[in-house]
Formats: sequence, structure tokens, C-alpha cells
Amino acid sequence: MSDLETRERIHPGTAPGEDIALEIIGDGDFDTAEMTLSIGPAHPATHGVLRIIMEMDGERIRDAHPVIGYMHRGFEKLAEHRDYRQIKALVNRHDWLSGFANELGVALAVEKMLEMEVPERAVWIRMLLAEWNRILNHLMFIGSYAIELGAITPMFYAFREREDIQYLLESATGGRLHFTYNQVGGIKVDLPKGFLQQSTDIAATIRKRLQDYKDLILGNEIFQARTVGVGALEREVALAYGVTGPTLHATGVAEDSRVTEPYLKYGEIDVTVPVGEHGDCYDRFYCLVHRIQASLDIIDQVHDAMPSGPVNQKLPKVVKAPEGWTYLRIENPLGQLGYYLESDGTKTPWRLKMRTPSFSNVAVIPHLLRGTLVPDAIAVLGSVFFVVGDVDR
Amino acid sequence: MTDLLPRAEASLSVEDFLEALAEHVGEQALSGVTNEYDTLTLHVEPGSWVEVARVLRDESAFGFDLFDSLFGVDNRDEGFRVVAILYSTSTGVRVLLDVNVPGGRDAPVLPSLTGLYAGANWMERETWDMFGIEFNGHPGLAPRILNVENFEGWPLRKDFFLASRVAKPWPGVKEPAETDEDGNVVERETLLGDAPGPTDLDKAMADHAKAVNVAIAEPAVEEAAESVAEDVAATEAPEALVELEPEPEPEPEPEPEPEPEPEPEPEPEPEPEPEPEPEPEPEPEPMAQAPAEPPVAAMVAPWPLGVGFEDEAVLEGELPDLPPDDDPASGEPEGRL
Amino acid sequence: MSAVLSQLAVTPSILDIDNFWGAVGLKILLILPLFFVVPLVVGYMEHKVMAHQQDRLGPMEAGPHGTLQLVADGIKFIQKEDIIPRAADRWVFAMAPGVALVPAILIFFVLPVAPEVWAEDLELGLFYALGISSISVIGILMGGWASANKFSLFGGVRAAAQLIAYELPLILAAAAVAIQAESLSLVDIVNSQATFMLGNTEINLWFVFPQALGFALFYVASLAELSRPPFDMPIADSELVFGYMTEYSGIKFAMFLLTEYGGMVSMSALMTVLYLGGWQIVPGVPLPGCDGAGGIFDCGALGILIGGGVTLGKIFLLTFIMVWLRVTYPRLREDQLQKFSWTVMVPLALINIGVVAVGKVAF
Repeated sequence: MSDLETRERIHPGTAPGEDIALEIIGDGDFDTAEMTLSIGPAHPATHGVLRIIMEMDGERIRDAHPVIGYMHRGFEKLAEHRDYRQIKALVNRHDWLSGFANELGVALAVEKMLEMEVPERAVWIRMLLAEWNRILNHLMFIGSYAIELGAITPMFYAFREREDIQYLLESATGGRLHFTYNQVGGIKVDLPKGFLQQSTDIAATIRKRLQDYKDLILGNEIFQARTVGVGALEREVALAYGVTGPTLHATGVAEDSRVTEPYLKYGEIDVTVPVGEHGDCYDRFYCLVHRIQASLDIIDQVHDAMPSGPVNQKLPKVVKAPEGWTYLRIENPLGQLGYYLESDGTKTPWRLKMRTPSFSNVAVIPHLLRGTLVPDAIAVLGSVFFVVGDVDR
Repeated sequence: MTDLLPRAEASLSVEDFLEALAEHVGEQALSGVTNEYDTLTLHVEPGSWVEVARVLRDESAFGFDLFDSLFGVDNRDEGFRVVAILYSTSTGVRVLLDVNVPGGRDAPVLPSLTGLYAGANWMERETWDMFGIEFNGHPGLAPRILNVENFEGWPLRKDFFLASRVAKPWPGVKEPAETDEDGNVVERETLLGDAPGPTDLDKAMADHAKAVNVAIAEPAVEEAAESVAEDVAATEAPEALVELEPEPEPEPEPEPEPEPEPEPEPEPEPEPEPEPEPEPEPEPEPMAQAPAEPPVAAMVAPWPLGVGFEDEAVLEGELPDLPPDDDPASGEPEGRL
Repeated sequence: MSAVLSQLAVTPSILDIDNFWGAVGLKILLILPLFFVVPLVVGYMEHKVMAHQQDRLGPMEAGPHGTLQLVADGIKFIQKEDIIPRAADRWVFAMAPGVALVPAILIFFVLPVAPEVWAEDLELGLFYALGISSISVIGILMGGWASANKFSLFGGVRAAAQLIAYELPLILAAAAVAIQAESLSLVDIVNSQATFMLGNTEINLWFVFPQALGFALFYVASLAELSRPPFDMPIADSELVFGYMTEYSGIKFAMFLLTEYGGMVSMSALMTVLYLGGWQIVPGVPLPGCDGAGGIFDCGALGILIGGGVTLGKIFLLTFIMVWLRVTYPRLREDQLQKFSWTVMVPLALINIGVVAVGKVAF
């Protein structure tokens, strides 16, 4: 805006050269403009298609509104048209990093309604694979969180580990990401020969390499400067939103379904739940890394206790759940995954509600982002672990 | 070392719990209690919905601080139900609150729990998006949270039909549930919201699958199969798919006219006359020229390419009639509602 | 013209032949490979070093072991479509890479590479080098603003703030060197490292030894000047897609990248000259064939070649460490970056100057 125009705006009618008395417009502060920035839906920082509309004042965020639904695939509706044999291939896919845990949940729900006894060996194998899936999931988040903060190397190390585990799981289930291994009443086939030996070896390798992650990431001063004290979540807020998983443990609440409502055989082994203190990004990441360690301990215990025997049972031609409903919650790697299964006696569910951990975790993001800077927002977004498919189903 | 949360000293038994609750909210608040399959469900009267939740959250005897989820369930003609799940980290008890939403299927309305639990915000938005249930006192149900903003309809209602199931039957290998032990297709009555029952195309595919399975199970018994084929050919059954001699022109199965909307009682003989369609492919020649191939392949003609999928126009002859995409009736089979 | 230049130039280089235009041509021939070839080699080294530190191989296809990868990249950039966003300010958008790139080339004007091999030895060589390198900031700001993209704007503003903040420690550290060398001419600085008078004895003293702190400060500040990790907030690619470079494609983008790599080389070369003794192999060991003072001047052809090789070696060592830091560290947040500069680095730089000044007077 030229001088003349400015003058015209403030004092219309004065000619150049005339004295003007300066008039302050506004209340004396700088007139800054608020900016609305949309992070996403396609953005390197969000895990998948999540859009966050941020109203910003400079680099500070005044308000944030997540917009979800970009990956809504109608899983709950589709589930109503799947029988209990087909449904596991569907529920695999809403949280694609923890496919086994999802199938496990729905299988356990149906078994609960049918009051079915699952063979022992199947139970232990389920636990083994569930824990491997948990490690797989957490490794991915270690890599992706580090790269969001700018450390490009841990991603490669994490994926190297993931390749080993995926190879292992592929040898048993045939899948690297979507396993389709659980069945109502057990698992599909028994483990291949040499699986337990290889599982032990890989567990030992990862345990050794976990120390690297602790030193290079948790111990890195710049990482600590970026995450300590950033995005602190209070315990009451977390509980009111229904946040679960490492995000909740970081606030100090050790609410873990494996411990509080043991399913499978978690009641018979030792399960460690790492908790944090302040609920900030550092604590969430700390819980993540130490959960891997806890899972490795569980895997060792399962190796020792694995019995022999059948792994599945003969099912009737049609698996029909009796009338009624049940709610079952298991510990997904990202939090607590709940399945509400209501059946009207036929072979497809009447209603299958998937209570996904990521939905509640993402719901708390506006609360966390208010008042932070953009780089902190990225740090917070990465630390509230979620998978967009889980949020939207 | 297993960390256990500090549990309240005396976790209440179900009876004590209900008694204590009745003391706080009164007897009329609950219309019933169910405790099946390890799931404690309180059936709450709509008028006391918020009160019960508030009592469960605030009273230290209960302490339900973790808001698990809230969602809707279609309840057929009675309308909808809303289920809220609360969990107490201090006592480890989980309770489901179930309420019949007043207003029926036309105008379901329920008070909102957002004031009590912040997590109810998105949950109620999703319930509204999926079922159309309005929540009084909610800060803002629109825009739609999961579906597209200009979506029309309430997807999870049972009268909102899954389009892919209406347009074509389940392709692929026949589901075992639709056949009995002998491989014959079982008819069943389909209720509101059920997966559509088997259509005639389904039956045709089932019979073909059965024929293949029979052929695989007994490959050496060619004579028996031949005799069966003769019988079949003699009766001119419409589902004659089994071919036991490598014929230059195998008869593909006839195209019955399946109704894409499964009627509760499909007529037993809507099958049209079989119209043998000469397939232009030279497929039988390799079968005849390769005697080393297992006899199975020679005994049963393959399922004609494209039948049951979109490119059915490839085939000549009668094709199953599908409603056009813009047909408003295509979503509403008769006799369902 | 040459009369004017001879007023400014202090020590004639081997390229100052009698024919003026011939001399100019030779000097251009010196600078061009320095600017276009050495950054490409540094870029290749970065690819390979990053890859091996990340447990993978890096480029292997283009050329043997991927040596021609960056040549292939250059050809790719040249043939790309030049996209200008519709809302962008066309002229500013187009000029920004140039404004960022040209100063990066001009800095090589004064850098001495080998015995008597430099383009010009200005009496204020150091001043000129640091001043010229600051002009690139304008190009970055122009790019960030003219892109009509909120992320680019973020990147541009962050870059401006960061570069201004880190100019100060850079200049203060360099000033300490100038104090110790008693000259601003880069050739004189190299010379004084070889023939340093400590008391009454002439010793061979690379300035990195008494001014290790200054070296560290200069190194960190130059990382920030170049927007290299851990100071790459302006380009934070997990937040801002690519900061001020987001909307650029094709040759303009290549120019920005060349600015970055060229800056790495020029800053490393500057550090070599200021702190690591220039083209000396080891303190005290004269270059073969050199008769001049300290064993680094009046060299024959062999000495020149070896000297050039030594400088390049030191440049590669310093850039290797820059790449190493990139692979290891996450990035600092903008305000932490600024706080670090103003509250830690500037006071340390001032202390450094104080110590050097006292030492200079005392000894």
C-alpha cells in the first residue's frame, strides 16, 4: 500500500505535504491477522489421511479441529453382512498395524457368546502372536515418531526389526500385515516347525537392539528438548475422553486389559505395564519403548509354557451366536479395543460395534493442541499414537 | 511384576451395586438389568439417562471415570437403542447403560452426555451420523463426522441397504451355510436386516460347486459319473452342469433369472428353459488333447467366465436381470419392511 | 582495471597472468569446478554415508556404485517442467533462487585452495566472505514469500529468523581468528598459521588448537546458516513439506539445492582456511617442493597439487561430519534454536574473543 493510499485511508482528504496528526487505529496493538492452516489430509506428519484445521496466530495454535472420516469404509455395516468366518478378514483391516489383535478380539467375543472352550495350545499361540504384533506396531511408531521430529535414521532400524518379525509371522500365518489366523474356537493351523526357535532368536536380537533405541532416541538431548514437557495430558481429561493405551499409561494410570481383565492366559504370567508420570510426549514414547521390552518378556514366558495339543476345534457347519449381546475388551497395541457384539441368533451379527482406541485418542487432540506452537503440534500429533483406519473404520 | 491398579477394598457385588444405585437415582430409573456373557447391562429409562450417568461418575462408591464408548443399535420396529459403556479404573467394574431412544424410528431424541464426559462428544456425533439420533444439548452434531458432509441417509439403520449386496449376490465359492450336507441349497426366511438369502444365481453356483467337489472326491468313478450325467441329461434339469465327456461344445449352465432382491419365498420354478450357449472358446480341445490331465478337469466344465460379475455382457444369452443403477426401487426389495 | 584490482589484492595468485582477460578466464575455470563439481561429490558422499549409516546401500544404479547419481539428478532437473503457482509473485518467485545462488558462488572468489591458487586475495577477504554469504538469506525470504503457500511462508520466516540469529556467533568466532592472525586476508590467515610468532619463536600453529571453542562455535553456526540438521527448521520436511522450497520444481529447485551443497563446501573451505591451516598437511611438515615461509609457499607443481588435495580432503572431512550430524539428530525447535544462539553461543563467542585478545597482547 503506497504512502498516498495509507494516508487516504487514515485521513481521507489530506493532500501530500499537509501535516497530519497520526491517529492510532485499533487499541494500540499490532494488527496481526489470524491464519487458518489445514494440516492434511495429505501431509507427511499425519499418519494417513487426517486433517486438522488449525487457527493460528503466527506460529501459535489458537484452536484445532480434527476432521476425520477420510478413511471411513463402513466396517460396522459390512460386518453385519459377514458371517463369523468371514468377519475376521474384515476386522483385520481397521487397525492395519495390529491385525492380529483385531481378529483376536472378534474371535474371543464370539467364543464368549458360544461359551466355547479353546484348546490350550491355541490360547498360548494366540498370546505369542499377539505380543509379536504388539512389538511390530510399536516399532513402526518408534520409527515414524523419530522421523517426524527430524531424526531420519531410527525409521530404518525399526523397519529392519519389523522385517524380521514379519518374516517370522509370515512363516506361520502367510501374511505380513493381515494375518487372518484366528478362528472361532482356535487358530487356523499349527505353527510350522522351527517357529519357536526362530521366535526365540529374533526376540533375543530385538532385545539387544532395544538398547540402541533407548540410547539413541530416548537419551538424545535434542529429542528430550523437543518432547519433555510438551503436550502434557492430565489424567482426568484422558479418562473423560476414554483415552487408553500408552497415551493413558503415560499419565500414570496403569489401565491395561491384560492386567485388569485378563483374557487368554495373561492372568497366569507376569505382565509389566510401564507407566509415566507427566503425560507428556516423552512419557508416551517412553511407555512405547518399554512396552516392547515388556512384550519381549511375555514372549519368553510363553515360549517356556507352550503346551502341545490341538489348535482348533471342529465347528458346526454354521456358526451361529446365540441371541444376546456381549462386550469384550482386549489390549490392542494402541490401546483398548472393544467389540460389542449383538446377535439375533443368526450367522451374521446384528450389530458389531468396534470401539477403537484411536478414535478416543484422536478426540483428545484438540485439547492437547490448544496453545502450542506448530513444531510442538507435530510432536504431539506423532505421540498420540493412532492409525487413521482405526479412527474411521 | 504385575502392576495392579489399586482396587477399592470391597468391590461391590452386582446386587449391592444395584441397591446402591437405586438409592441414588430411585427405583424408576432402571427398567431392567441384564447380566449375560459377563456383561452387566443396566436398562435405563430415557428420562434418567443423564442422571444415572452422573451418579455413576460422581459417587465415590462407583467412580466410573473412564468413558469407554457410546453407540446406537437398531432395534427393529421399536426404534433404536443407545448403549453407553462406562468403566471404573478404581474398581475394575464395567457397566453398559442401555436405553430405548424415545421417538421411534422417525425422530429419535436423547439427552446428551457431553456435559459429563468429554469423550461423548465424538461418540454422539458418530451415532447421529450413523443412525440419525439427535442429542439434546450437544455442542454441535453437524457436520457429519465419518461420512461425507453431503451424505443422505443414516447408514447403520437396517433399512439402509448395503448397496453391494443388493446389486449382486456374494460372488465366489458358495458359503457353506447356504447348503446342507448334501450340497443342496437351503432356503431360509430373511428378516429385516439379514444378509440376503440365496438367489437363483447363488443356487446355480452352489450346484456347480457341488459338482466340482463331487468330481474331485471321486475321480476314478467315471462310470458312475457318466450314468449320473445321463440321468441328468435325460431329466433336462436346468442346473445341468456336470459334463463327463469332453465335448467340443460344453454346455454352460443356463442363466436363470435371479431376482436381485431376495423375496421371502422365491418361487421354486422360476428357472427358465436351459439355453445351451455354444462357447466360442476352444477350451475343450486342450482337454481332449491332454489325456494325461487328471480326469477331474475333463468332467466338469468351468463356471462360465463373467457370470456373477460385472462384465456379464460378455456372455450371450439371457443374463440375470439387475436393476439399473438409478432405479429408485433398487434399494428396497419388496416384503422387507 | 587491473590497477584497481591490484590495490585490493594483496598476494597475487598463480592465476594472475599478465593478460587480464586470460586471468579472468583462468579464475572462472578455478571457481566453476569448485562450485559445480565439488558439491556434487559432496552430495554423492552424503547419499552413501547416510545410506550406510541407515543400514542400506544408497544409489547403486547410475554409474558404478551410483557415482553418477547426482549427474543424473542434474539432468532430471533440467528437463523438468517449470511450474509457477498461479497466485505466486512471478518475478520474485523466479529471482529468488538466483538471489540465493549467486552469493554462494561469489564466496569462492576469495577462498585459497592450494599454494598460490585462488581467484583474488582481497585485503578484506574474511569480511567479504561472511558478508556475501549473508545475502542468500534474502533469496530464501523471497522464495518463501513469493510461493503463495502458507507452509513456504513459515519456512521463509523461520529461515530469516534463524539466519539472523546465527550470523552473530559466526562473525564473532571469525573475528577471533582475525585478531590472532592480525589480518582479514584469507591468504594471510593461512600464512600466519604456518608462521605464527609465539613470543619470539616461530611455530606452526593451526588456529583450531588455541581456539577450539571458536571452531566449535563456527561449525555449529555454519550448520545453522546452511539450514542443515539439526537446525533445519526452515525445511522441516515433516512439518512444512519442504519449507521455502516447496513450490519450486526443475532447475529453480536444483539451484536451491546447489546453494545448500555449495554452501556446505564453501563453509567447510572457510573453516579449513581459518582453523585447519589451509593446505598444510600436518603442522610442521612442509609440503614437498615448497621453499617459502612455513613450507607452504613458492611451491612447485607437485606442491600445488598436493596442497589442493589436502584442502579438498579437509573439506570432505568437515562435510562428512555435517552429514553424520544430519543422520543422527532430530531437529531443534525454532525457539530452542534461537535461545541456544543468543544465550549460549554469543556469550561463548565473546569469551572466546576476550581470551584471544588477552593472549595476543600477552604473548
